[in-house]
Order: sequence, then structure tokens, then C-alpha cells
Amino acid sequence: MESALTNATSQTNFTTIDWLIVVVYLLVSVGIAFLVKRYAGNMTNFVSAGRAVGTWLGVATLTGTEMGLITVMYSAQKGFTAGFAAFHIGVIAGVVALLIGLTGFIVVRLREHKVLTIPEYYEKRYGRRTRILGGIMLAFGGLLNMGLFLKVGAMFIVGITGMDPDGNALKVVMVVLLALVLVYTVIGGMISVVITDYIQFVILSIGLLVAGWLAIESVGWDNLFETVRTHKGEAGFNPVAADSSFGFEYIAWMFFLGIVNCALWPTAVARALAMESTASLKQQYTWSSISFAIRMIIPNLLGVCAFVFVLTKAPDLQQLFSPADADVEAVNNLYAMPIFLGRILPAGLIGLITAAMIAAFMSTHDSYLLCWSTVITQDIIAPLFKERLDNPTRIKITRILIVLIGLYILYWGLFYTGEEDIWDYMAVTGAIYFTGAFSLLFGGLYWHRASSTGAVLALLVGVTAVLGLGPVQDYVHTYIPGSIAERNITATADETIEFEAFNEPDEMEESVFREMVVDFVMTPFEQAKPWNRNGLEGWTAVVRGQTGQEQKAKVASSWADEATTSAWSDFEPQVGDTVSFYKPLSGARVGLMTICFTLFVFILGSLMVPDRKQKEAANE
Amino acid sequence: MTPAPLPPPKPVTPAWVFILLKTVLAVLVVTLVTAGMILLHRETGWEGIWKVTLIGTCGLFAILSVLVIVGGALDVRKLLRRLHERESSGD
Repeated sequence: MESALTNATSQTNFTTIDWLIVVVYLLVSVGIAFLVKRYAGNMTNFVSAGRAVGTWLGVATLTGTEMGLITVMYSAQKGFTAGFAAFHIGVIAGVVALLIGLTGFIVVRLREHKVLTIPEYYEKRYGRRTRILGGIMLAFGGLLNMGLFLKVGAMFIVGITGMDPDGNALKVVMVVLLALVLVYTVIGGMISVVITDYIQFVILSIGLLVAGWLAIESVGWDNLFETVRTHKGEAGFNPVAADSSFGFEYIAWMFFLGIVNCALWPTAVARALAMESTASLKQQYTWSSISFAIRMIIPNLLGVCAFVFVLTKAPDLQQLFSPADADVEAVNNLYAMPIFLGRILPAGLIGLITAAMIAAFMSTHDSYLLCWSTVITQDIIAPLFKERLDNPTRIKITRILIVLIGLYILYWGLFYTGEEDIWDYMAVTGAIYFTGAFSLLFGGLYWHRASSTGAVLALLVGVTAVLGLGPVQDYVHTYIPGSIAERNITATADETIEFEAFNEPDEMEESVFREMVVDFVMTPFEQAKPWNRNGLEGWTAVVRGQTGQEQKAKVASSWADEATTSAWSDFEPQVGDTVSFYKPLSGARVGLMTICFTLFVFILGSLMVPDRKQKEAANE
Repeated sequence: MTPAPLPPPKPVTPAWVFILLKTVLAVLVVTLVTAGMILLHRETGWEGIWKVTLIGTCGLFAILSVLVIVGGALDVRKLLRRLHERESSGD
């Protein structure tokens, strides 16, 4: 399988000319950082480009930041796995950005406070301890969130250029990309970031439109829709179809994420705070709504085209991404889009597209590195020193943090083993911060009774969003409501295990309390009826060996005293081992539950423990 | 002795009228687009919706790109000039 992937990537059209284009682009980016270095002497210039960014440059930089290579990759992955139905994510993002641009929801009031970061607003509204706690939550969620950026970006470069993915190419590319970004972010701060964002916009906008056009041409417009219809059916188009991987819950989650991406996510808000006026800020968001939609729709399209290409034009890739033999493990479908582009784009153009994607990668990384390091400096370290740090010291600390964060993402990219789609991983990790932040910003800006106690509670409760991650659920699965406690295994045969039988309980007496409270609380958690045929289908079985080691597998079919699962990865279960079962919660469900929970504790805390000195909400 | 400057004249139309008009316009546009999409869905199903969405957003993005490339270049020049002036004045 490894050599098949190497063989697949090696059939790219990438040539020396393309490498030249990429190198020239990278040199220009680093050169800009050196050119504007002299302006980055104070913190306002370093972090907010002197609050002197005009509307069109604002649109370019907001698009440049939000349309990163990571966005292109995860959106293509969604298109590859879910077909055209994934378009709804981009449409919702665009509509929400438009509404925020028209109304100025949150961002305008935040800009009027003239703060540099969101936690700085927390201090103005709720006090210093909230700022420090908010900064810690923001940095924690944000750093987890960007943990996979580097690896996914490097996968694209490896896939499209035809490097050997089985060797050390991935690690080398990760190190080189990281070094480049670190150099020009550390040197130039936000001014170089804004200008390189503009150059990126120029290359990426042209590159994406051309790539989209050529992708459609390579598979054929009619064939594109016909193949999706044949292989994915109604679920390939309808996001709320019965067998769709999305559904109404996911759509509601996407609406909230739309608000987050525009009004709560610090990298986007940093662009809003850098605008020269609130009027240009609203224009920036209104115009950027098109970019917010297209940044997902075109990559979705590339993913769908890659799917159709694999099925209809490249039998070798079909074996790679959906092998006929169930025992053969499929290759990570993140590679599908870059390999597809590597085969359809002509030499020269492929270099331009790669430069555009590297540009996208770098502009996202520089913004995120700058953002998180600034948050740690301004909102955690500086308040702890009671604002005694002068500007040069702050800039020095920020630069050191940028390098440290860079080293962390290199480590995390090699270490994390979760199996979620990248987009879902990012949504969940981001939720650690933004579920609490939504309450604090919305409440602080629009509700005069919001208190610092409610704020601290909401920030702490936001951490529960981490339960949306697969590895975390594996670890705490016995505490998930509805999970089934350990039972002894009595016999095994291949992938089938037998255990102590489940018996249907006697019917419980009707109880008003149970119906009103318990049933309501348990609504988000699935309750299995394991005594029924296939009552555990789709659940996860966790086998614990007698020496304490654990492994999990998905249940394919079940009966009262046995379950057949997918292949066990680590060891064969034995008689005497134990098995427990749980139903994994989707990231969307955990996210929505966390939002409701944080809002609840925020309101409750604010009402029960009001601040002694009420602060004005809106027009402080 | 110079007379005190006159206060600026009160605008004939209050600001809230323009806000209201803009809101009505926005709601109208969203309603029309939604109605159009519903009609399209009836005729062609989700497939038609996504075809129109794809073509429409790509077209709008192409227009936006031209505007941003031109306007952004002017903004970069303005930004650098402003930073240079601040640097010269020691601000």
C-alpha cells in the first residue's frame, strides 16, 4: 500500500519550472518582511498594522487569513466524502458573514472599544482575572486548533509535487514551511502579514478560479453530477437526506460556526480591529461574505471532482482510496485532491497553483502565530506583570512565543492520531474557546447585567467542548450517559465476541419526574437496547485485556449475547477480557450542547452574583 | 470680537430612516433570493440549487477579485505612506 501511494503521487505534472515559480514567490514574501521591518517598532503597528488598513486591503487580508491551505484541504475532504451536499457549509458561512457585515453584530461594538485583542475587552468589561482566564482559554483552544495545520499543509505539498510520502519528505516539508513562516512573521509583524495577504489574494483568487474550471473540464460537467448521483445518491446533494452525514443538527452547528468565524475567531477579529473605521469594517465584512462562501465552495468542488476522477478516470487511485478488499486499509483521503490536481494541471500552471496554496498556507500561519503569541503576551503575561512591560520587551516576548508555538505545531502534527475529518477536529478544538467567548462578548456588549462571575463560569464550562474529540471520548467513554458498563467476554471467534447476555428490563412505572427531567436531560445521548437484534449496531466496543491494555472497534452487528465488529487493531480479545460499549457523540452535538451550557451558566452566574459596580454594556 | 460658530445644520432626514431603508432592502434581497431558491428547488431539486450556487458564487468572486486587486493595491500604497509619515513624525 505504501508503494502504491508513492506511485500515485509520482505521476504528477510538476516540473522544474513549477519549482522556480514557487521559489520566486517564497523569496518575494520573505523580502517584503525585511522591507517593512522598520515600521514594526511599536506594539500597535506590530499587531494591528497601525489601525490604518483600508476597505479593499481589509477584504484581501481577511480573505487571505480565512482562506488558508488548511481550509482548502478540509473543504476538499468534505467534498470528497459528502459530495455537493457539503456546499451548504460555504453557503451558510457566506450568508452569516453578509448578515454580520450589514448589522455589525459584535464586531462594530468591539472595534469601538479600540482594543487590540478580545481578552483586552474582557478586562475592560469584566476585570483583570477574566482577561487572564480568557487569554488562557483562547490560547489553549487556539493552539490545539492550529495543531494540524502544518501537517495537512505539508501533505498537500507532498501530494501535488510528487515527493515520496513514505519517506521523510513530509517531515522535511513541515520543517521548511515552518522556518519560512517564522522568519517573516517574527520580523515584520502584522504589516508584512497584511501585505503578503494581499499578494496571496491576487495569486489565490486567480489560481482557485482557474483550478476549478480545469477540474470540471477534466471530469466533464454532466459526468460530475451523474457520478455523484450514482455513487452517493440523494445524500450526495441533500444535506438533510435520511442517509446524509450532516442533518439539521450539523446545519445548526454550521450557523453558529459562521458567527464564530466572522465575529469571534481572533484572527478574523484582529482584521476587524485593524480597520481604519467602523464603516470600512462593515464594508469589509459585507464584501468578504463572497470570499467566506467561495473559500469553501471551490475546494468542495475540487474534492467532488477528485472523487469523480478517482472513480471514472483513475482505477489505480480507486484501489488506493476505496480498496475492494476490506482487509486493505484505505489511504488518507486528504491526499485525493492534491494528487488529482497534480495529474490534471499542466506544467507552469501547477507551479502557480502550488505557489498560491503555499501562499494560503503561509498567510494563515503567520496570522495564527501572531494572534496566539499576542494573546499570550498581551493577555496573560502582561497583566501578570501589572502592565509594567514596555513595548520592546513585549515585542521580544511575542517573537519568542511565535518560535515556541511553531515548534509545538511541528510536534503536534507528528503526534496527534485522531480520526475525525479535519474540519470537525478544528470545530471542536475551537469550541473550547469560542463557546465561552460567545457568552462573554454577546453578553458584555449587549446585556448590562452581565457579570464577571458569569464570565468566569462560562469560560470554564467552555472546556467541556473537548469531549467532542474522538481520543478524549475513548478515554472517558464510561462516563458518557447511555454507555454500557464492562461485561466479561465468555467466548471469541474471529471478529465476533460473546459476553454475558443482556436481558430486557421490566417495564418501568410511568413517572412524571422521569419523563420531564431525566428524559429531557438524556435526549442528546443515545440509549441502546442491546437485547434487540442489532441494538448495538454503529456503537463502539472497547475491549480491555487482562493486563489493562484497551482497544476499540465499531460494532457491525449484535445480538443479546454477542457482537461482531470491524477488525481488532492491537490484540485478539480473549475469554476473561471485558467489553464495554458506547455511542460516540458527534462534534456538532457536543458543540451545541456546550453553547447551551455556557450560556446557561453565564446567565445564571450573572443574575446570582452581579458585579458590585455595574459596568455599561454597550457604550462603555 | 468674532461671533461663535453656528452649529452644523440638522440633517433634513434623520439617520434612522436610512438605517430602516437599508434593513428593508437587505430583507427584501434575502427574501427574493430565498424565494428564487425555493422555486428552483421545486423545479430541479438540490442538484439545480448547487449548480446555480456554484456558478453564481464563482461569478461574484471573479468580480470581487478584480475590485480587491485594484483597490487593495491603492490601499497598500496608502498604508505604507501613512506608516512612513508616522515614522517621520516620531509618532
